Amino acid sequence: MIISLRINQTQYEYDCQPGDTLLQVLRKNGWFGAKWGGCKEGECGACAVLLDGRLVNSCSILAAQADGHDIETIEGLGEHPQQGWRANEGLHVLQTTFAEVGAIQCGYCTPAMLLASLRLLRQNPNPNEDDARKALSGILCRCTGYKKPVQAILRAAAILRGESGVQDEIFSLGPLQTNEPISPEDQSGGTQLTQTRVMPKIWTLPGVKTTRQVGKPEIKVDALKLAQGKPAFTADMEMRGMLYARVLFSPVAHARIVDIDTSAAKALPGVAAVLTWRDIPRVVYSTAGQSDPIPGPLDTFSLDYKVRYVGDRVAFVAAETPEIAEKALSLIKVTYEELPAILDAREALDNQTILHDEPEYVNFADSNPARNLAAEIRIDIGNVEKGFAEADQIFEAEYEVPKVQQAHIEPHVVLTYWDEDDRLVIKTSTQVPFHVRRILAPVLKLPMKRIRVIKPRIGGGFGGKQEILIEDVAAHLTIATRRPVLYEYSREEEFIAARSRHPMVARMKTGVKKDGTITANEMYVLSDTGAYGCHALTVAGNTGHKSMALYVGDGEYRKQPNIRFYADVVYTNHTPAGAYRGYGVPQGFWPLERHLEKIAHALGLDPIEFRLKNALREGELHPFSTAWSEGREPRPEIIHTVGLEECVRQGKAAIGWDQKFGNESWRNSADKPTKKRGIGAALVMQGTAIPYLDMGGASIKMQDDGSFVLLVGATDLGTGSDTVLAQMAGEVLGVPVEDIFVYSSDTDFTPFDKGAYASSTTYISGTAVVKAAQIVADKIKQRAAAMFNSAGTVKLGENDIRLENRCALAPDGRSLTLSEIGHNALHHDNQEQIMGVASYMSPSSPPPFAAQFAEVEVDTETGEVEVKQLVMAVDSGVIVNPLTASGQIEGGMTQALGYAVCEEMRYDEKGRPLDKNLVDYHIFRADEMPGLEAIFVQTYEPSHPFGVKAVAEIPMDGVAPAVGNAVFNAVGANVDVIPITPERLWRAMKE
Amino acid sequence: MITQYHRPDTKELALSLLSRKQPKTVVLAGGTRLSQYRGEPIEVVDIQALHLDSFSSSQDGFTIGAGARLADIESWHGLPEAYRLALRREGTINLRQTATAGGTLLSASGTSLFACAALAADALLIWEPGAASVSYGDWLAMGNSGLLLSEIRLPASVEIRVESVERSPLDVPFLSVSVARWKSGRLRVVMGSSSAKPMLIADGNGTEGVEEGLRSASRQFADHWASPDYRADSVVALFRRILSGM
Repeated sequence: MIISLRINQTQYEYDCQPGDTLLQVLRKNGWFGAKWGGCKEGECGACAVLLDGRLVNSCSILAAQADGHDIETIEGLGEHPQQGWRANEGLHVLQTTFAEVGAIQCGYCTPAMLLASLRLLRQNPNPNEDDARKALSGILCRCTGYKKPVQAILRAAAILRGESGVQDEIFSLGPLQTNEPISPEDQSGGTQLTQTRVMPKIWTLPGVKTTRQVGKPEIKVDALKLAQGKPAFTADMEMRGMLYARVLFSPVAHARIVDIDTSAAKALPGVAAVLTWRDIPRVVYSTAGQSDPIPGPLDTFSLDYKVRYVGDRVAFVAAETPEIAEKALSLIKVTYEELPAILDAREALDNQTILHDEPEYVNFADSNPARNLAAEIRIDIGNVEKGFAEADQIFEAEYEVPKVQQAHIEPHVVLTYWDEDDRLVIKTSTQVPFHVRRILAPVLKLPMKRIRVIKPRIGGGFGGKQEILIEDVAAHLTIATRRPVLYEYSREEEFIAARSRHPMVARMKTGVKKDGTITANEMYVLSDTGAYGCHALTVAGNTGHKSMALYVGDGEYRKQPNIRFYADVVYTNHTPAGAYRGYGVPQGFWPLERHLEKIAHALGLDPIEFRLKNALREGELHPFSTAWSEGREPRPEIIHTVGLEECVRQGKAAIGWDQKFGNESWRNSADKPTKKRGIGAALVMQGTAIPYLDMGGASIKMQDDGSFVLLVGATDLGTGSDTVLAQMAGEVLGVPVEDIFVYSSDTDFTPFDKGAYASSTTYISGTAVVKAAQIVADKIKQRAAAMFNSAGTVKLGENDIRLENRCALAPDGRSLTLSEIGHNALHHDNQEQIMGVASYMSPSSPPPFAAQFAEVEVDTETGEVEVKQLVMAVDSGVIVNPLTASGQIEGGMTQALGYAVCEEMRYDEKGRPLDKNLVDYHIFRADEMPGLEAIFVQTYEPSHPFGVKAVAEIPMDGVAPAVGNAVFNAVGANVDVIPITPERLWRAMKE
Repeated sequence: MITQYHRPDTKELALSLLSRKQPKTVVLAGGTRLSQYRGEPIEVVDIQALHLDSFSSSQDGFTIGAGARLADIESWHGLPEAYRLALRREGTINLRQTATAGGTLLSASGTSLFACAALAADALLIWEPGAASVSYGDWLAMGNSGLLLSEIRLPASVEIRVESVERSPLDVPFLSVSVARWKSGRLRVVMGSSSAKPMLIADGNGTEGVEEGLRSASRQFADHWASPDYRADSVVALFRRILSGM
């Protein structure tokens, strides 16, 4: 049927099927700003457009319903003002404010948010925060926590109302001058009509140097393209002759495939290929995106004759349309011989049922598939038994953490094709392009040099894309058909066939003296890796390595801590677990911080003072550094910077701890008699990169006009790493970020980088960038000195030259612009390409530290918990970009909030997932968020050129235990299992 | 799959399409569900041109067109607050811009607070042809009463309260109680839960036996959202909370 749509005030006629959604028709015809989040219930809102001025999900209405109506898409909102000679109106003020305040991270939901904001401002030119939150409430964002998008709306509204200058509350406090605590009322305010709250509080400890680019809230280098909804994501790319892939997934948890009949599927018109395990090479590998050698067993095949979970692969199909591919799946006849399924990790070890009995299985370290054991860890530090013997009291308890999903709004998606040189190009939404290439080469029977991997913009990853998850599917089908193949997961497939956080059972045993000194601390973890062992060892290792390292004891125990961490990682017939932001550490801090809270309460100690008494301090040895390392031999490491005490001080002040903790009238003062309030805290640490393993490279070249091109293998998932790397380069080169064009994550054109995980990019890739920039800066200075010397009598050396404000400055006041130097280098004298290449691998992994606080309100009858406020004060060293960094904190806390109260992947008695959409698996919306506050305590980490440590993962660690501790404070009930659902708390209160 | 799309501009035309035995033809209201339909071939009749989207109030009550969008009803000043709050829980604001009152009630599960409130209020559904009036409760029990739902009628002068339990403020309300009380003293109590359609627990004068009815009904259900014990205890707590506020 032909439909007529008036899109952005221009009439279009489109041919479509009656059952096509509006989203399908829009994207098919080049309107890529509306994104598909994979959902069937319309829950994510990334596809939203304005239909006759209403914000509607274009995936949730038929195109035919829109026939004759007006549609506005992001493409009609505004465009970059610099379009050569063609004048244009530029960007809409909303696009500008979203970019300016850091409201754009991955950008996948940005077009929808902008249209929602536009609609709001048309109806209400003076919205308040609640109005803004309601307007955004139909769009799920997994990156930002919604705080900055809301502020962007308020700022834009103020500008449109004609207010002359919108003031940010900027709390940037200098070096510590007094020991006075900061009270919550101690806040500066502007005199403008509208104040937005975008910038975090920044408290700077002595030692932090003054810089020009580093530390600035620069707009992200990709913000404008994302604000315009440019087709920058994998699924926005189309190729002639492109096929669509689908996978047949197993409906049973454990079975041998006795027979597969694909004849009917192959015969369906429009089907180009159907592949089963018989059709492709049988090569064992791991899907974990990690450096070589993979620190885990090799236990996966692209297709196998055995399925090990509901959602495991059975067959691949490529067809002319997604609908034909779906139909073909239904025509594949499979005969399964069902096997017993192991659905409880407690029953996995030494069970008669074996998941991995294939002869090709490759062990790593202590894996033992005959026992269903994917990994085993045994770490003893000091003498734990002696420590327990010396304790006045010993506390033991068991805790559990759930399986949860990364839930990035852009699903996994990949496009593969042969280029004109017969090289296989893989364009994929990945965090690990170089690992994809290395790991897939043997699987595809292609030399690595014949594969190119390109990462376009990514709509969120959070570890879920640190996996070679679906690239092999599309690649096999491209090999089979010789045609481009696009494969994109639906939201349901994300739940049944992607990865998750490892669920764990943790048993704690802690010995303490009466004065609160920890004499011995022990954690045993049973981790469920699901059907495959990707990330099994390394996640569990981090659970102990990061959490149990924080508390070493006091007095003599501080000099020789007694710590034990044991873990068994077992196979079960569940969806495999993998990497998820935090990478085992959130799983460690839930039991640890809840356990310490109970101990403090039992001993009658202040919970925060008890923790600080036993916490690691500056100058001390990381207790695990001689016992375990992720992938390499452990080596001793001293912790140079620990801003934990200041984090506690700042966080306590921000949440009003001293006014609330222990205050019965505050606890009972909620608006209903059935409600109680509570406040809780948790102290946490994470890591920064993996020492002696992670490596990143950078290449910088100077252009004629004095601008630069920075090539990095580092992978920006929306975190802003391209921007902070440009800032670091700009700091060295004396230029603003706008003079540095960043191109990243292309295995052909960019230097190697291990990828975006382990919180390494700013630290490792950043140091490589600084080193490359210094090489370039030196060459610029040499050339500048030569140019100065040719025109003057005083002979200058390169060390006399300073680079600042796009110029090379001589001591006598003479200056040359970088443009002059660039032209000179490329065209005039002793021509050369000024460029620098460098790489960096670190011997250290300086931990960030944080204090996280939560305030809750509990319904004592139903057990409902409402989190009212979250505060996080974090020592991540020097903050390169406070906007992007605070965005990481706010978004991370929001994800962690779900971990605390509502997120959980549940299964039935046959191992079938029960949560397959973002309705049942609830992630927080804009209009139900608690207050979020991020505070940076800047220390100067000496192992980095700019004093930086990691910031991306630590926000995940402490929210759940802080909430659990706040619940205990409110009602005196201990919930040892997260999420803290109403029923779990109800039962705990009854006990 | 949807094989044909119709957009009639008169009720008569719509009814003639819907009354066909073959091909199977269904009403397309907001489209939030049918847009995802991938089953056996059907044709759809879009009601957007039939002007079923108005809403009004009178002394007798509230009349809501079956095609009225939830977002529009929600912002109607004449609507009692309990319905407004219930409507706000029917999916996201984006979905409420297209979802219709009729479509929502006819496809409701037990987690629909609007459906529970409507059942508690003993809403009437008006069906074409013939403007046949059927109570929502009867429709839930017995199914189709006509070809095209044209209106929903809610009584006036009825106090409505809804309380629910969820994991976060805007999560799926996996357990709820809705109570409607007339000036005459008539009381209707509806339980909503993740396991079933909205369930009428009591319809009479006074509260005697209601708590036991709630406990008994809730103990029939167990799923991954909540156990029978928890349901039984919480629905009674919600009911008492509602009564104390009425």
